[in-house]
Amino acid sequence: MGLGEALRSWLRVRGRSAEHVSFAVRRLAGVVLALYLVVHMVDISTLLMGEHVYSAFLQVFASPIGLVFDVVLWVFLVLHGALGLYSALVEAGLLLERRKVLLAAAWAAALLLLVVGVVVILYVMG
Amino acid sequence: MKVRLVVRRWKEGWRAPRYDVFEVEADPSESVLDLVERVSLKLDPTLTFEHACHHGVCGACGMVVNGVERLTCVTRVGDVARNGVILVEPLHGFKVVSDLVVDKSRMFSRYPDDTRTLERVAARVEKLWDCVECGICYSACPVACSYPSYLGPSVLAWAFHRAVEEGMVPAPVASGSGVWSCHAAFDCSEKCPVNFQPGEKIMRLRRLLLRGAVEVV
Amino acid sequence: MTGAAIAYDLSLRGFRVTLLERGSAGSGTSGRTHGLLHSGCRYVADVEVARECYSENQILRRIAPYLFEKNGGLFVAITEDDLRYKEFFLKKCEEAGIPVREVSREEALRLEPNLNPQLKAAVVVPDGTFDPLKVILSFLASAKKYGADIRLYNEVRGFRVEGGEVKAVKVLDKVSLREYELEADFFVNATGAWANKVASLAGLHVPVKPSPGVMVALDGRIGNMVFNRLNKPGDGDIIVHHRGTSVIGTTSWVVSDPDEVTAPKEHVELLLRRGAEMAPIVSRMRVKAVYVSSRPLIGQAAQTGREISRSFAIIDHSSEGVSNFFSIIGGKFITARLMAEKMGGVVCEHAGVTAPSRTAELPLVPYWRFYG
Repeated sequence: MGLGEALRSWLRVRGRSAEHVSFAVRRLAGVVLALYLVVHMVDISTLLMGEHVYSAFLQVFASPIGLVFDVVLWVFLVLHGALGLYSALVEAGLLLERRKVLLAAAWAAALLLLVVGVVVILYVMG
Repeated sequence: MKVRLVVRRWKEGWRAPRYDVFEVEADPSESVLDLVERVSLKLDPTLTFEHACHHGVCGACGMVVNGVERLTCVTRVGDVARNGVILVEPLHGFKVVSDLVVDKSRMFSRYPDDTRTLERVAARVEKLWDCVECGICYSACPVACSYPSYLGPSVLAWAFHRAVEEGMVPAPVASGSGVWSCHAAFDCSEKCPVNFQPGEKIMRLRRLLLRGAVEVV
Repeated sequence: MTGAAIAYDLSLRGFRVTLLERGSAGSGTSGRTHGLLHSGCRYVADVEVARECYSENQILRRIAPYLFEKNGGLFVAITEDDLRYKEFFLKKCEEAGIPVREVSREEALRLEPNLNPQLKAAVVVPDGTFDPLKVILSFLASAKKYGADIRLYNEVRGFRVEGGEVKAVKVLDKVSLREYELEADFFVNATGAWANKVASLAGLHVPVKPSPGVMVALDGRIGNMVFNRLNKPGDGDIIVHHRGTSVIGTTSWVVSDPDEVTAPKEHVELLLRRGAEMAPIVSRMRVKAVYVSSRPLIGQAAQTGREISRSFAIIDHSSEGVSNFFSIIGGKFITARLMAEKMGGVVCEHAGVTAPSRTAELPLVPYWRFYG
């Protein structure tokens, strides 16, 4: 089974249910967060190169581009977290009868946290 | 109504599939399978597809219709045609043998020799499982479609019933290629034509295993 | 189904068998049976046919119990006319050796609450039901185990006939789109309603009258025991339940080409009406599927095709100048094993071989083994 076939099966959303789309979003968010973690390790390690290099990096993150990046990161974090909580519950065999309600609740929570977080990032930290 | 039936064709030795278009007259209450059969009888006898009971109990006629897995014998043309177009493709997750026929051996070969086909419903009533063994759950499952060793939703769902009745499961069920590979996408339960709920049963089986209520043999 | 059973019977006897099927397993008439494991009671008017049915019913339960829902059936009298049939029915069942038991109206309703509460009599019979595809696959898997080469999607296009013998069959493999010839010593035409269409490719004739019938599958299961109308066989006199569905059957008419059939709407209405007579809940249910299946009736057809005997016939085409070609028509799904046993005997005779049929003794290989 090729990589193309495997990726297509995960990311194919046409004809797929809301349940599957949520799964795909959760997975994608997880991958992005994992990649971010690696990148973050790299940029933190610039500290080793001296204070002025590290400060230069911090400047980038304080800029508007940095804010956009923070918002995007927050989106992925919230989605992965909320949908992850949903999957943690059902994968342990809990609340299976109400899984549709649970999924809706997870998305609602994600949206709420998203809005709150974006507000915080843009107005408080921006 | 006029229907444009688009069928994915593939024969042994072809490098790429081909999409054939058949313009047919159809009654909206006819089944998609009726259309495919009519095309194979009147327009192209080389079109291969699987079918048997024509009333939703044998699982042979599962196909992807306009992107959605369905049992075509109980899927009405009028319900699925989009602007008069119906695209028919073979199920995902299985190797294509020819046109709409797929090789379901990855599913059937995982059945234990002593598979129980009947459930006891009441004191004097037995029933074949609702699961018609169509393989639609494999086609819908992102894990089954990317991990060939995965036992698969229906096989694991049957194992859940076995676990409840007899308190044991075969080792492969409790392994990495068994219940632990399910990642809660639940598209299997959403697409299952008989509401067998394989996704839920896999999770319930996990709980039984975690609680130590089932013996792994 | 007949072909699958014959492949099994002959392979068990030591013949090298190749089975050619133009479509998928069960894609012909057999796949579309409503799945009734006949007790034989429906045909008690012909005691021999009934006895044959019951005997096969017993054999199938023994060799593959996992294929059948063995919940029995009820013959139910709704009208006075039905009631008048009861004495004859009970007498004939006894003559045929089929164990039946009359029950009270109350007990019938207790057993099956969806039956018409106005029912006038009920008799319990040893019916059963099955998923047709899985039974066919079990026979194919069993044939495969004993060496048969099962070639699905291989369509017979013609025959090469020379010197009073069929030398080879011309085949189109629809998987590879390859045409080829297959030589053999004997050829058995077990194509049922298509038997004449296929035989004519060899210049031979089979007196089969394809007889389609409509079936209506409901979106839900309304009972566990098969509902039969206590009367002579007629339209819409049976409701069969298996898995999550109930099927009302059937009607009957005659056509010349089994590939050209559509279900007349009046038949669907008739079936729903007759079904509701036995079980009023039918009129409140959604129809899940309507389908047609062409039975292979023997001989010259009467108007409706119902009066023709439904037992089977083996045709040896040496009367038409070809010594190694046989056709088999008629029969019911559940007598396929017996039909295969008889056909196996005929082939053995012509091959000068003595090998007994063992299909009644050995357990059937389960259907999932067909896939490896």
